[in-house]
Amino acid sequence: MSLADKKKLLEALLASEIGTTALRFLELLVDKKRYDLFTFAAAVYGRLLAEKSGTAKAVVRTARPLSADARKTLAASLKTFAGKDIELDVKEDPELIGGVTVKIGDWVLDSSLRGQLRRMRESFYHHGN
Amino acid sequence: MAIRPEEITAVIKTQIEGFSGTTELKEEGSVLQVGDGIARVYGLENAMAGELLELPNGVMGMVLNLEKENVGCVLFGSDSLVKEGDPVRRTGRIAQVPVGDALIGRVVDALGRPVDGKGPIKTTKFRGIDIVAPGVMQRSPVNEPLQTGVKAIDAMIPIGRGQRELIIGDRQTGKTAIAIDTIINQKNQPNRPICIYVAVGQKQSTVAAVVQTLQDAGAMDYTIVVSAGASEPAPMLYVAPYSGCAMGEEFLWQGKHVLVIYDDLSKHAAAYRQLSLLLRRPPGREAYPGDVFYLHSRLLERACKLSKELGGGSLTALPVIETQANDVSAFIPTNVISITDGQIYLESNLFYSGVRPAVNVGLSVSRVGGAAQTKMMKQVAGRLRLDMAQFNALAAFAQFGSELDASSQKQLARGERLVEILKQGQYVPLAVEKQVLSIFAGTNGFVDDVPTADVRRFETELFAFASARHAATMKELIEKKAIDDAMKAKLEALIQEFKAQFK
Repeated sequence: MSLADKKKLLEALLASEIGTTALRFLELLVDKKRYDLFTFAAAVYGRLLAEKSGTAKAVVRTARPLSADARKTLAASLKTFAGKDIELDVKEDPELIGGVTVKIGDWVLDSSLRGQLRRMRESFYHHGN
Repeated sequence: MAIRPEEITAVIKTQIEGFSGTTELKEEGSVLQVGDGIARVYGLENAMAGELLELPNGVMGMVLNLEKENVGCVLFGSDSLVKEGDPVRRTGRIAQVPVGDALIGRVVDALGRPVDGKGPIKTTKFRGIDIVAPGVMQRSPVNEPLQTGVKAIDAMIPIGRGQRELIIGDRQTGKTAIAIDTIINQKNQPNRPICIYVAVGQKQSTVAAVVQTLQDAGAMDYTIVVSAGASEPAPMLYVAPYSGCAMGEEFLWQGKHVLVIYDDLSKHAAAYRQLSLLLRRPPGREAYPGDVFYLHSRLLERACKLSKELGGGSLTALPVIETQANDVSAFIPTNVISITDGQIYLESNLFYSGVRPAVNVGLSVSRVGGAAQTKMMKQVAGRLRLDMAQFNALAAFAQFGSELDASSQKQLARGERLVEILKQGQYVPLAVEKQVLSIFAGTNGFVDDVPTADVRRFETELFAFASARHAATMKELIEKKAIDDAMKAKLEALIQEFKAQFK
């Protein structure tokens, strides 16, 4: 597949979905053969965006649905932790079994049952070497 | 032994009761790219160089590259278990290995995990694998000998405890054999050093054979084998020498003596080159990265002789380098030659012409070992070195088939016999007093009239004769550690008495 074909395909698929700047950026990646850096660029973009908006995004995973009250207290306590306004992104994840995990930037707060079980297993490992 | 389920339940119960870890706060990044034993991780802004990372499926990683937006790490495990987007957690620990007495007699991998099937290693002590070497004030000059048990080396290229002596030569010239002989010879040495044999990038069968040899010789009682085989990922080969060194340092700081053999550093450099290229560090000469000198210098600087105040322990390093077609001017050999305190140069020509160990005595040197040599050995070896040098010069000349005068003929004959005397079988290290006796006989002309083909038999029978009939003289030699006039007369009498009955 030639570079020109790739660019045509990009335009055909995405021209109606995303802005011209974003499309030009993708084409630049194709031109310079740096498309493997896309995930990296996306991650850096996300961080820059958060910095600019002055808020931090907290990815919250819970085993059960959160009540509105619980959301408020969570957002308030996370604000004191991060020192920024918090934008909550709550999703349910039954795999956690119980409890909650919060991810803000690089930091992960894990108080889920799954995490506790994993740590317990690790403590057995290290005990017996 | 019967297994009692209730006991096991009780142990597990106490551990569960003691377990508290409701919430955990950790830094987590995600894998951007993975492959060829390395991974690039996004996030982990506070990661330290050399820190261990936890990846899914029990794979561990070690941070090598800290870049602006990502972290490059090497994986101690299969990269097929890790995929893009996987979470990566910091452990906050710098890479370390278990150390202590429990490791002695064991075969472990580069991370100190047992691979000999003898159960877990019961130790609670750990040491960082990559530490800074002791400084000037902590050291003292090398002053005790490390006997290899090989005549050619102990006499002419003496090694001291705390020295770094390179063993260099082509493949199949007996480099490992010298290393193994040295380990075996430590068995009956005073203040016996603990030996650590680090196998880097070798065939598992070779390592198994080495372990078997050591076991048969009873040398595993004071030896640790660190094995990073050819089939293991490059990061394991890269850390293995540092791990071995860390295990030795534990004993060093206890005031004990340690001998570490790195077999071999050429493969270590190749593994590091692989990692560096995959981490996109710029290649330099022979495609090695710019810091390949530092790679070996920081490892070998950790060999040292500690000052009296710090216990006087020592860590002797015997790195091994394999050359290609006797080319010592390649990149890695020149680097390691310049770092070490001397080299034992093995030659394939000599090996094939039957001179074994195939030590080239002209090119081999020891820059500091002379200070540690025992007095008696110094007394006989000075003459030996001179005789050998004259012989080598003359032998080259004599090749033209020119007529030689009587004195030159005599020198040639002497040299030929000395070469015979310096020959030695594999895995039969000799005690110092025997070495001295044998070299004394050679340099004082007692073997000049023995046919060259019989010199080795002469030597063996001389040893048997000396220990059977003159045990007292040999004992005195060991105790005096020097040859004064009285001792010289005794030795001469001993050899003459033996010669009278030698056929």
